[in-house]
Amino acid sequence: MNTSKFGFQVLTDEEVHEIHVASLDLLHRCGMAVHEAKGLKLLRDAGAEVDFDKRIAKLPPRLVEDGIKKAPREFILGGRTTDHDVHVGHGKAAFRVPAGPTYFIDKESGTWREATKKDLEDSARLLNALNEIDYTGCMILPSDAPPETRDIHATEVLLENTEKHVTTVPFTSRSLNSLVRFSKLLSKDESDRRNRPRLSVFVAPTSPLQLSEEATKLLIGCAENGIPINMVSMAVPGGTTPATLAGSLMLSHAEMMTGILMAQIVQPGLPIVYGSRVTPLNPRSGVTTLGAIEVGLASAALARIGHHVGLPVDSHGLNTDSKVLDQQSGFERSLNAVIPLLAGADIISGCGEIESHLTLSLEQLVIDNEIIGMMRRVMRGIEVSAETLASDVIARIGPGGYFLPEKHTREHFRKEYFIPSIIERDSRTMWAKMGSTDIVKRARDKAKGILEKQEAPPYDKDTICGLRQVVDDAQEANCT
Amino acid sequence: MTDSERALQKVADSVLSFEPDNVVASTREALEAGIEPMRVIEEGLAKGLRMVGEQYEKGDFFLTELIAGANAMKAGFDTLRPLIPKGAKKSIGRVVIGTVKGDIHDLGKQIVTSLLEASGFDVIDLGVDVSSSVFVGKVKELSPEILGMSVLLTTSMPEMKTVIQELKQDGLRDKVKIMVGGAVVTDNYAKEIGADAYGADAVDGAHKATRLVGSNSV
Repeated sequence: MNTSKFGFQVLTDEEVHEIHVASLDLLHRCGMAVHEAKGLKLLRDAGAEVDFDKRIAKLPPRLVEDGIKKAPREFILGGRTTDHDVHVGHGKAAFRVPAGPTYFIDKESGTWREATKKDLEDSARLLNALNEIDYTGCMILPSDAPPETRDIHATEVLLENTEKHVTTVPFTSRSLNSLVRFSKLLSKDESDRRNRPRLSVFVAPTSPLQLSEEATKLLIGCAENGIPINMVSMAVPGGTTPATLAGSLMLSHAEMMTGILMAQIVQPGLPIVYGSRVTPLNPRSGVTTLGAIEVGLASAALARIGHHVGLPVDSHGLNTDSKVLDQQSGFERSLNAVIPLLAGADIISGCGEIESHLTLSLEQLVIDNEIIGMMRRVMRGIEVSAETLASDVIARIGPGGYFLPEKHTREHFRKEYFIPSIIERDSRTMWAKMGSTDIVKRARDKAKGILEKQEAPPYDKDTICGLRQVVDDAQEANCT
Repeated sequence: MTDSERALQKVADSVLSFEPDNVVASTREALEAGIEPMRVIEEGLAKGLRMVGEQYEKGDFFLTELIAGANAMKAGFDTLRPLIPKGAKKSIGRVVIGTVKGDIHDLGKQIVTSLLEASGFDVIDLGVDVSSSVFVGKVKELSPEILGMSVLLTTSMPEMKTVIQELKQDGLRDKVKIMVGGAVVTDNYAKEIGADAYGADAVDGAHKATRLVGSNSV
């Protein structure tokens, strides 16, 4: 199913097929390095040609294609209540916060500094009030949590402070036990946990053509425990993949298919998001860039490729390399989000980030909430019907009349237009009267207003104690 | 709540239905219940419109509700008009308004007109492409408190200055307050041509008109 009503096709069907076939050929001819014996054995038992000394698995195309077919095109990522469930791949794009920023823009002083658990708590509470943002990655890795268990601390803070689904980043497979406990604690029963899992996990192959020991263990562990995976191959054209976008897409697709295949061997039908990224190198400095326009272009192509193999696609989007909330941030994130969105991406990531995912900003979260509202309005399209053509109303009013007092106007203003909350559209006089503010100031005021009023959504005491116990246990296990 | 209070509340609520027929019906019911026409206006119709205004200020209503509310209220007011005793103040002032010569843009002026009426003004709308002689003639004939001129085209802006000069020549300038508005007009331009006030948008225009006649109503 093509989720885009508009169907922006950056690649033709033939080109998508050509990339897919080249990836299959690469996996067959060259193979993939899997640095973990259990993973290699699993592939061999399924029919791959495995060299255990070199840790290389060569995959017959039939094995790959039959395997990934078992992954579902649609599924639910569960929220605390069904109102917050994310329906992935059902035809309407979801939007999420990324994983992993470690810095934060201080909401009082506007200065840049290391992020803390309190910042994560604030961000999660704010997220809960922003209706356009559907769920979150790890959001922030707080500097004041112990380094070895920071992932578990962050996950716990998120689960406590937002009702939205969380996709977390386990540092190592040792975190798996805690994640499974979280996941069981938050679901009514086993069928609830399978149907609307509260937690999912990022797993990343390493370009070019490798699955690390930890990634393989995580992948198998998640699959065994029914935890959905957002598979993310991170291609860096010119670095870990060819400089060309086609070559990078093809190589990345090969890595993705290997990971998806392994998960489907362990647990046929496990929900997997096709979350591949193409993140170019800045040719001058060697630093990766998330704001480059090629990110949007490649993301649109990835949406096509992911759909070609029947998976929902998670895409880069609301990203910038800018260090501040300026015009660069505004146009980079808008352009790079709208391009994959029009190409049918099922999930668009990036909400609240600046500085290539290194920094999170509450103001940016509020602004992104507004940008998403605008994009969703575009995706709703234009309804054409007798009611919307309004021929009768026009005929009644006739030449020279006006439509503002009409009931038709009252009824359709709300339906037809996205009404922003912090975008400024008044006359200069009114703008001056309201304090001559820019959007960052208005976003900050709104964020502060929400945080002053809005408490964390309450969980019962037992659940909170249970969640915190998981963190304490992880902490203790790490010390012993 | 007494029966009268209930009837008046019904009038106020009917304004928020935005249906002129509802307002006329509730107004008649209030009269049949023996409530004084002036009280129906002040504690029923005007109260309803204030409620619309409050929701607009809060951001829950748009301009379309503000205008529809004013139109609905006007329907009730027209029912009561013949019953209002002579000498009782029916409006907070009279406004003559029009789009200047060479320009047939109507929308901005229509919005301002609706909001002025909602604020309690008696508004005489001269329409579009109004020549300076018609503006001057109507000021002479109707003695309004305020003359409002609207313009969208830059090419027609000087026409506003012409009207003001002709009012001066006829000795009428001091007898009327002059307001100008329209997307191309600025506060500075208004001062330059000798107008008394400039409305940045329709809501601002209605506020300033109310201030010009020294009233605190809506």
